[in-house]
Amino acid sequence: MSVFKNKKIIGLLIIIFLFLIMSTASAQNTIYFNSKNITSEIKTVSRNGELLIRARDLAELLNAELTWRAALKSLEMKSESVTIKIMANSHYIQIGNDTLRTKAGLQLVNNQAYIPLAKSIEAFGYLLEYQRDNEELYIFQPETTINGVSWQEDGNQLQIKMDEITPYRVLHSEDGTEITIEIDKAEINQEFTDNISNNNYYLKVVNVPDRALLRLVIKSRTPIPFQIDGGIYEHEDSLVLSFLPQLKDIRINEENLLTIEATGEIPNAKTKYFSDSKKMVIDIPSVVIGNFNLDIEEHPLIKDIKVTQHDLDPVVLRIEVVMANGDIFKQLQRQKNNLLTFKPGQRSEISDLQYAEGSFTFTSSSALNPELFLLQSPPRLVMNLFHVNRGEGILDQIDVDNTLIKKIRTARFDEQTVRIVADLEELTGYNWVEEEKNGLYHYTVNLENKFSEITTQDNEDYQYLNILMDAKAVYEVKKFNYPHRIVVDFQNTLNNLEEFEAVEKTSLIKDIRSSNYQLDEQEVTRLVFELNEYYSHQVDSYQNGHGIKIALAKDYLKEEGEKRQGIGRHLIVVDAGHGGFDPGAIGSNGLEEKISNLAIAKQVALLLDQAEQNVLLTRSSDRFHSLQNRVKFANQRGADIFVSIHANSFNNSSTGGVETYYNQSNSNQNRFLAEKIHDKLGRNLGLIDRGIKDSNFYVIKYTKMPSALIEVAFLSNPREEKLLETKDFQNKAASLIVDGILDYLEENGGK
Amino acid sequence: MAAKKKGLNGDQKRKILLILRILLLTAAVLYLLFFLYNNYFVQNKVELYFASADANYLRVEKRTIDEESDLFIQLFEELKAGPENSELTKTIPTASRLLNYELEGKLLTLNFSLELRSNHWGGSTGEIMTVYSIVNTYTALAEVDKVRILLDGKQVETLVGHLDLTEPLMYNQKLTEDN
Repeated sequence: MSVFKNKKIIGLLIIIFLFLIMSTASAQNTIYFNSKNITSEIKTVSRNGELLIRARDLAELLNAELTWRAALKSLEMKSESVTIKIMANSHYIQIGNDTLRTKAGLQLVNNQAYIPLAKSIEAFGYLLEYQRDNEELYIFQPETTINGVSWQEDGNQLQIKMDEITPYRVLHSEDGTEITIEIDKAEINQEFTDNISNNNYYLKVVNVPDRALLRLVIKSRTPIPFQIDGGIYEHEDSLVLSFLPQLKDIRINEENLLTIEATGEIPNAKTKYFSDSKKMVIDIPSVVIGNFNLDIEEHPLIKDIKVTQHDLDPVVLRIEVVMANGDIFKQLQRQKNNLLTFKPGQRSEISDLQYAEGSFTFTSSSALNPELFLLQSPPRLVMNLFHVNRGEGILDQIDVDNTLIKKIRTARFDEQTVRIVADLEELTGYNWVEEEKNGLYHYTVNLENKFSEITTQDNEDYQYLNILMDAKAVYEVKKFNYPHRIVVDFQNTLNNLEEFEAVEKTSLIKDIRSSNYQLDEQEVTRLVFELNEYYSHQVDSYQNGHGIKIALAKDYLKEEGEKRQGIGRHLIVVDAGHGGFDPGAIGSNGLEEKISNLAIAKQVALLLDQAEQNVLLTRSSDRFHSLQNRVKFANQRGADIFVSIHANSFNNSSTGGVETYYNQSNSNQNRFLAEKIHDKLGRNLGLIDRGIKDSNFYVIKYTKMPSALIEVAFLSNPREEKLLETKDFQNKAASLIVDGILDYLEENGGK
Repeated sequence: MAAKKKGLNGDQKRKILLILRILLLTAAVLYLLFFLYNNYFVQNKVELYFASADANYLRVEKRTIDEESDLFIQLFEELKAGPENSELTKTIPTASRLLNYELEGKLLTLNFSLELRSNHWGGSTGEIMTVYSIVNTYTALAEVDKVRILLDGKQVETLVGHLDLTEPLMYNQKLTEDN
């Protein structure tokens, strides 16, 4: 007997024990009411896929009055202004005057009434949120009520008035025509008002069941000019969304001032004048068109005004004004930031006409639309500038007397026009460039350079090529392989080589060719020297940059030659980080990482080429390539080494130094390569040595050959940013990197 | 003798059963205590990882957080607020937001707003400090082993051009070695 009794006790203990474990381990259908776990305080059952709660428990939770009419098998629950009714064997709940179908309806379990939890509790104004695959159910009292949504500040801002600000997020559709504001734990006020919907906008309020949030969806036919950065802020108990300003009004007043008003701040607008069509084009960034007044009818000065949303990405509003006479409107000093004012009859003033190598420059107070043409006998270049006055630094005549230009003259040609004339030695090509800086417009007119003389010359070690130009040359020297050739690209240069006698061929120089072609959208004249043999070369300039001297070595220079011969040729891919729309890090003085990366990478490539290595650059201009493409490029070409050049940044301007990264995953070769490169950089670059570091950077992780990523210096450190900008530092870094690569090849790559 | 061979006498049985009962009861009481301790007495202190001034290491700052609110959101808000120790440097660019998150098993997916990239200062070091201050802070929690970072709901190659984000990241021990 006693044994049996003991067994019973032990059994009971085990059951209690198991119950304890179960109640803590099982998280299923945990129910929280206002963040308090009430799972154990209430009884629930599941019927027809619906969770039911014992009516008595629900009434207790909500402090509601419960009435059970046994005769009707009907239940009534009342709390404050809400009453719900539900009958056994019916699937419907009656809430006020509405009825709602449920899956299970009222169920009697052990003679107690159970009713659908979600539908009933929602009827009393509570919000539900399921989490963790419906394992947890949260019931909240709404924490806030949305009272209304309205336009404020002339339609620049959208104000969402609520009792209290709960977590929220703003999402927009890809095409920008829809904005969704999600507000957590919010309910809508019964007296909710909005003035959103009009010709352009449409507001929809969506209650998201099961997630305890409210969505306000605003749709428009055109993209909504929501400011992505800083477009939303909290003001007392309202959320305020800022929109880009809209054009409000264009008018011309009694004093003939043309004003353009927007609903908010207008950034600097760019104005252009077209004298031929008597037109002024005003481009205003970050303003949208909106509903505006146009109050100019039959004005003696203005024939027509056209307003268009010129662009949406970036946003540009364009106003085209056709003038009745030829005079221009000039923009006046801004008085208010939402107003542009133009005064008629104003002229631009040009100033500071100067001559520089093969070009002349001047400055204008507003953008011009100059007309340029060449005239013969005597040969001259004429530039007509309309609606301008001559200001300071515009002399009647500048004597230049070089091989391209004899002199530059300026004069008023007629009432509308100032003319700049360049007297030339002979007719030549030209181009002009406009550059805006601090509200002033700088113009540069370049005359085409041309070849003056090409000669060769010899000594024991070198074969020299001398190329003399009429003016200071803008050029680039490149070396290509298979077959060996030296290529010189000249910008803005006339190809007059036909006038020359053929250049004498030598033991090294096989042939000379020339051609014109487009390189990065610029016309270049290219000279190609085909070589019989190639060892190394150096480039120098002479006669103040008018001449280029290329020295071709006749043999391997002794010490370098010995070292290199042991290495053999390898294919090295040099990757200049970032590029195109991705500037990389930006220094405090504005230097973009992509610029210095490319300069160093190009120099690395040049030096490796001179060291008899085959080199490919992942980019040789300011272009964007995905990291995946850079990796593919190196892998597909079967590169032997991959080196990525970067400049570092951190949000602390005192941090600085050089570091080299490798990826441990591939092989120890990665680390060896990084060590060899960093051995040179850490010691000799003159910056803090931050050491070599292992990291899973994309380009060094997925390249299949030994690879390293070099962070030369910190752009976020003003001192190092200055260094990164200089050719000296770039070349020093490049030559140390190349030394390191060659060291690595010598030790590991002889195979 | 026979009785002894057959089994234990009544007294011995009672003793053994008593011991068993006591053992079970102690186990139950211990479990209860452990359970109560875990649920009601553990302080909600979290570890936040911020960058050292030279950006070579991540260092821990402990903070008490509000037990009532969402832990994951709070962690990011605390990271964004930056370190209290003036020798440490903040790692999260201004205006970045944690839009939402999802915990599947022990993989935590964090979906950040685009400001995490657009307001970032760039650089390999800058990127490592930002990404691993997030990863280490979250993986320091027992329920998280790996962190996947999304920007505006999308998978990205990297945050600002270096660190591979196409795969989830784990706690980085090396960056905390100097602690």
